[in-house]
Amino acid sequence: MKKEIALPQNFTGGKLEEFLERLPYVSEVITEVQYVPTTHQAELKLGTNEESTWQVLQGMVEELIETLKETRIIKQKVVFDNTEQFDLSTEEQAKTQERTENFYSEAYIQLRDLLDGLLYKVAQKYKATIREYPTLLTAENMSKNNYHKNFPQNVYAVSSLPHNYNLIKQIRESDSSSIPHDMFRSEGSYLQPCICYHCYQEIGDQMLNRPVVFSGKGQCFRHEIQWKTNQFRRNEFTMREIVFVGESDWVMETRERIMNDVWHLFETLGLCGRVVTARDPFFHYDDMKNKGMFQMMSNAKYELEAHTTTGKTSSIASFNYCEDLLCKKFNITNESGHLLHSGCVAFGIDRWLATFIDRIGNQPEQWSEAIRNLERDEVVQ
Amino acid sequence: MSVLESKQRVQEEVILLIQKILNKEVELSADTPLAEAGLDSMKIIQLISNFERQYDIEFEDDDLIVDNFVNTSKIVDLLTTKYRVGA
Repeated sequence: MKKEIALPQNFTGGKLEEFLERLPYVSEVITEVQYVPTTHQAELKLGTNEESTWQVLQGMVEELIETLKETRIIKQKVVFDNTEQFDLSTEEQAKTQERTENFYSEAYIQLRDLLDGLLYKVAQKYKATIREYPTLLTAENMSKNNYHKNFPQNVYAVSSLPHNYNLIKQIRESDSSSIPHDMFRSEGSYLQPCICYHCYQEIGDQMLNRPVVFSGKGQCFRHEIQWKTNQFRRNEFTMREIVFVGESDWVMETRERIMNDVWHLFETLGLCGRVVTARDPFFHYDDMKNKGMFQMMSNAKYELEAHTTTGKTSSIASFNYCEDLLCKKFNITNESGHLLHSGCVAFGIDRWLATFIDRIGNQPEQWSEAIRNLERDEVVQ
Repeated sequence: MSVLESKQRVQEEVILLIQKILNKEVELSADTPLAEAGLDSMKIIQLISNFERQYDIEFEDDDLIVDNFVNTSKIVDLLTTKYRVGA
């Protein structure tokens, strides 16, 4: 069934975006959300026809509305913007179909690796130590980084069958084609939502006598709203991160220098977008009000927002300054015992690929000019 | 009331508000970093919302930067100069 929700008049701009982004997380009963500008209403498609379910849901939506009424959404600051160079009003239809396959062709794999190679070069410029870490993140690490508290909606936990002969025999002899869920035991570990926590673990409980830079790439996992997944938003994706730990001024400066390099690369590739201040999608409403606002106030997070030919935007990189938050959790100090600061730059490689294909084309022969531009570019090289 | 007296009064009110949020008495000079006094990011947000309520103002987005709230001197300057608090 469909339901409409009238929105408060001041739900515009960032507040409206935040509301529409949040709404699907209220319940999995919601299977689609649309904003109707003419009536200033949100239209919800529900996977049920039960009025009683809707009544419960309505209360939850009201709570979100009330929270957002009290939430200050500071307008984004724009650092770089080349969207004026692209005539967005006459953008042609997407050059590629919405991706529905669950594989990449060989050409796409090569292009993805080429794009990642460019980001790897950025990391190399900062003399990053290159790392490859396990996909699993330990419970101990998670309890320090607190990701599961800040973003529980994204977490994937790992479970397995206990090594117990009787239990395993029972599965084999059962008529059921699947394994009953209650037979599984939680391993206490998680599928990594990002790479950087491994780096903190590696240098945890250490006194560093110089700044350090790491870069790693790997498969990351986030439990997304299923009906919102597409080639930009996936449950499983490849991420590269550059993590840097040192004194505050150096960390801030490094973040800015990498941001400049990445923007230059983005423009040289012929892509369209902006770098803007951003806030994380904190799940809990009090965090959304407080932590989200403070992030914007302190310019703690910037995002490189790519604009597609169909008018959609997608964050393909983020530039984060974590102050001493994670160094405190992992006990990373300088030689005098003072907590160090840290930052990280994260690249969603699949999103770079999807952005490139959308903007440049899906045929390998269309890619050569953009690649030639890069080969001629002194900064990138 | 002179500008100086007015600023002094606002300074005292700001300190009182900070103490209320910290739930303890603290010695604060005009340039004591508020972070050192125990005002973390969450408490700064609380402080901002208290200012808006107490003085019936709404900070403009451009003024909501951490640098404006690092010590009482910066806060008092912002409140008295731009938002005419105590005028």
